Amino acid sequence: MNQLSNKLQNHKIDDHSLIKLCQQGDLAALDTLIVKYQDRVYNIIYKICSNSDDAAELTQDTFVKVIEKIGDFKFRSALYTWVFRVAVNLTLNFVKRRASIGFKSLDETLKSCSEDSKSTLKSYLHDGGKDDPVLIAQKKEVGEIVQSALNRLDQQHKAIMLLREVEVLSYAEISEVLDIEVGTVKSRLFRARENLKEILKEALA
Amino acid sequence: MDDLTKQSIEELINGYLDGDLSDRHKTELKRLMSHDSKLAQRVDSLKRQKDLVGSLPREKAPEHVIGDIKSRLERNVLLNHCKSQNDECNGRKHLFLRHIASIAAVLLLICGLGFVIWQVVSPAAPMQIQTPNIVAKSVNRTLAISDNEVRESQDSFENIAPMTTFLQSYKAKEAAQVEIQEQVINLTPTAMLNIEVANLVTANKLVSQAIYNNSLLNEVVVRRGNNAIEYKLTTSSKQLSTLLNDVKGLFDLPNTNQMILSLGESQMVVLENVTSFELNEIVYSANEIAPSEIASMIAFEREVQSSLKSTKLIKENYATNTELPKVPKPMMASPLGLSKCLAQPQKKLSFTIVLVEKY
Repeated sequence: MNQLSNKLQNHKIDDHSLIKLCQQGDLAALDTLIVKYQDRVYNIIYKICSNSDDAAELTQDTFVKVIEKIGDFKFRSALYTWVFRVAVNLTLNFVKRRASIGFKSLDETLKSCSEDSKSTLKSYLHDGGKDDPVLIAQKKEVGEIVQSALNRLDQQHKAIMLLREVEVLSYAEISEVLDIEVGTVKSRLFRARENLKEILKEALA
Repeated sequence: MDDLTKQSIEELINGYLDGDLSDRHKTELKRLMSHDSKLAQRVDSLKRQKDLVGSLPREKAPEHVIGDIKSRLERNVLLNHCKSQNDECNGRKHLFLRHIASIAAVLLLICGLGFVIWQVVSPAAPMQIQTPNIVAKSVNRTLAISDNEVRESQDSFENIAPMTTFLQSYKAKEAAQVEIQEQVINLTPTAMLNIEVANLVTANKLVSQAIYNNSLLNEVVVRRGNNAIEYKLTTSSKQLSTLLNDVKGLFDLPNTNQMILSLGESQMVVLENVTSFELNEIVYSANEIAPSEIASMIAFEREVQSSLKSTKLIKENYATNTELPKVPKPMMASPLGLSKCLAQPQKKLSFTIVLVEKY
């Protein structure tokens, strides 16, 4: 037990043991669970809904739901797959309800961005620029342009793309999170990539 | 590029971007890219886009998130506790109400069963048989007698012992007759003809012969007293009329008979010195008009006739020209006529002939 506690403190405990402890009502294990996944969950939610307050609220909802239902967890999937499933479903439902509000349009974002950022992005994507993508992506304005372009995608396409590119989940994991076939994941991912390329090409032209 | 090739290239690009391609497929794609610069540019662009999206800065959850999650969990736990307490309270109330309802249902069931058992087990009340009010006393005028007077007059028949008189075959059917008698008494108006005779034995012979001749043995009940014989007949008006015609020698004499017709339970009409014609009128019209009504009409006619006589006397004495009052003639026969009356289904009448020996 002491070993487990030490592992908990260092967040090195595996998900199976963590779930077992949570199911036994271990409060430290619940803390560990939240701390271990909160950033990943918040990040994916934020990238889908594009609002920090909503993302924080939805992150809370996700963990409350996960902890309340953790007693029923049957180990049929990985913990993070299950957590992402809850998070993505809550977020997609939220975005669907909030459809009338809409996101900040790509045109507005582009207007507010400097020409330097736009040309850097255009040069990187379409002109074979040799810049480091990490450095480019760290630029706030570039990040906003990409996010606005992502917001113009279909919600399912956006979720698939983010789960694949940002969270680096496998096709099988994405199919589990979104409850769709692997083949559907592949085709939708390709469509999402093609669509995003077209959106950015048109915007930066 | 046909559709199949296009789909294959899409899969190859997807696999290449995600690092899922085998060496053979990777070589194949590179070969295609070396021959098609557009394809090479497309793949390169998608690869850069993927890297860019993947390199987007990761957002960190606000520090208050974990605290908010904990407080929400605590609140939920408390709410669930309160809810469970309320549920427990509601459960107790529900249980109490269910107990009350069960007790009420059991009591109701017991009461219902008790009532049913009482209905089955309790001794049946003696059946009250309505008997016609019979008056044997002689009455000297047409009048309506009250119920009390009828009760007082019933003593006259107390000393008449019931006995079978003639025809042994009737005894076997007596029980059935009693039943028929009860039904008829309840259904039909009753009438009684009292006849004073000089010789009871001779009169009895005459009536018995008439009953036999008219095949009414099954429709008669005979009771005999010291100085009286009662024939209770339950038959159709036609048969009764024939019978009365056969015995009219006994009563078609002055001051020898009186006719009593019941008017419900409390009153009756008494006619003295009924003629055979009047009796026929009463009996034949019984299908349409109650015999008591016909008897009342006859009584009315008698009153009119007596008043006409007195008026005639006045006319003779004073020789005046005053016109006599016109009195409407009472309807004594059936308005439908005798044939129609007979054609109709015959209603059974209860008619009693009482022979009383004159002292």
